[in-house]
Amino acid sequence: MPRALHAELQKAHRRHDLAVCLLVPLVILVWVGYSAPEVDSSTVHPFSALFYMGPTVDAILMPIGMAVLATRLWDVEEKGDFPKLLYTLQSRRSLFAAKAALGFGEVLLIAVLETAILLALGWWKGYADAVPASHILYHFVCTLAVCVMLFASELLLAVLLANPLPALCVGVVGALVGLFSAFMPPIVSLFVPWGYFIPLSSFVLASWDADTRIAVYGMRAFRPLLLAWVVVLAAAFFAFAWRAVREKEV
Amino acid sequence: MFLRCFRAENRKLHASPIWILFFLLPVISAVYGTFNYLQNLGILQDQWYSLWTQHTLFYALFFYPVLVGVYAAYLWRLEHRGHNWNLILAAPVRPLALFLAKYVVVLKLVLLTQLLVFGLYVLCGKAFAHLPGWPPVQTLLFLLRGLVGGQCVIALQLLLSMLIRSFAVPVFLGLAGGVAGMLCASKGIGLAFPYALMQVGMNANKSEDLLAGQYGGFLLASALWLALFLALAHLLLTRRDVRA
Repeated sequence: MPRALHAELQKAHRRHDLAVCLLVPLVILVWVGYSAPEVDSSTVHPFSALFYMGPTVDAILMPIGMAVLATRLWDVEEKGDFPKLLYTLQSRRSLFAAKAALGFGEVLLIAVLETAILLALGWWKGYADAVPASHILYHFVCTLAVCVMLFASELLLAVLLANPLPALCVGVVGALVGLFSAFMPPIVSLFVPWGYFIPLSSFVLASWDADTRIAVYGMRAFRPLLLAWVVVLAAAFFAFAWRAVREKEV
Repeated sequence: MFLRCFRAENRKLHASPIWILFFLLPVISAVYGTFNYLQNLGILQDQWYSLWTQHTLFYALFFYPVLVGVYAAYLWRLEHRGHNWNLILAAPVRPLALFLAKYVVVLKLVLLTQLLVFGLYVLCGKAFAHLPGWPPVQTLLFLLRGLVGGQCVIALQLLLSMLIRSFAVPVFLGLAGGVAGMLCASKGIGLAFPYALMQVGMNANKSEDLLAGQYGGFLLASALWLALFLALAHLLLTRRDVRA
């Protein structure tokens, strides 16, 4: 396994995966940084507003971002017809475990940077309202869980179809459906895994006055059951992807 | 030579999975747009114009450049496999003809996509929203402006897909471009950024015309960006060595 992981890291270095992993948080930084409310604006609890904005941005960017990471991880083998060679040189278990570990590491990096960006922007803007550490940690765990689930589903598609296009198409359509589900009745969002960032979020727009344009943001209770469902989905997608690799004919 | 390249590029589209995306994205946008319009009839009172904004808002901001990115990346994917770069550059065809053939094929796909968007808009307006009369001619103009603004993004996405030997990365760059375009357009510098041109052209998020009195600048900016990307493609194809 360590040798397989080392080989995957070398491939990732050659593919410039780090640049791709940094590109996703960079887009978040530019977008949220531009849209972040000013201290003296009509936004009440601007730090919460920032953490409310994060999941909406994630719902647009992450399904496609995760599809990019997952398809690149497997497409590098398909392009050179390498699976048959790799399957004879190393165990399928070590190949899949190394790819899964590398993918998880990349997703973890993105989730850490996303949360760090939101915190840094809030401090830089000088927001006075306090966000409890538990809510920040919950936001990070939810972002990580949903991203890992999306990554695993895209990896499964990439392995099954041996072509990055269908996986990427699913990511694009998922981003669109996930975004729309946020503006539908709340029950709809529970059936759209690509947009789970939003129903999982513990930050809400409590009220908005159209006349005074005062927006009040706040917090709500965590949703551990939905989070557990995301973890189950992620585990199931990884299990199916492993099965697809194990049973793939070469 | 150009016609042969064009036919070859067209052949790649036969039975291609990109047709699924071609149908799905506009249909989902139309379903959501109509639903949202019907839910907010109290606020959205400009009838056909309001329906237009609901149909095309998210599509024009984020998913139109992504769609162009997928079309462009798909046409370059085959070239990045095996030793195909050696083959195509050794063929008795001018390199720019190859690029232009891909450009025309993506332009054709984008035109068809825009027509589908408009067809769905009319269908939903009549069948579900029961709007009186027919859509204003101006909405058809918005659609054509989206195509004019989009043609330099087609050239840019083709250039990115040519340079980056990955199918997925240029598509994500298209999404990033859409986000950056939205920010540029909201700052009032939409004409200075190619991805913003397609958005201001589509006039997706405003009832009043974003380009009123700026048609000359819009057309000039579109033409300049296109010329720049084509020149860059020509330079790279003729001066850069193949890395197969």
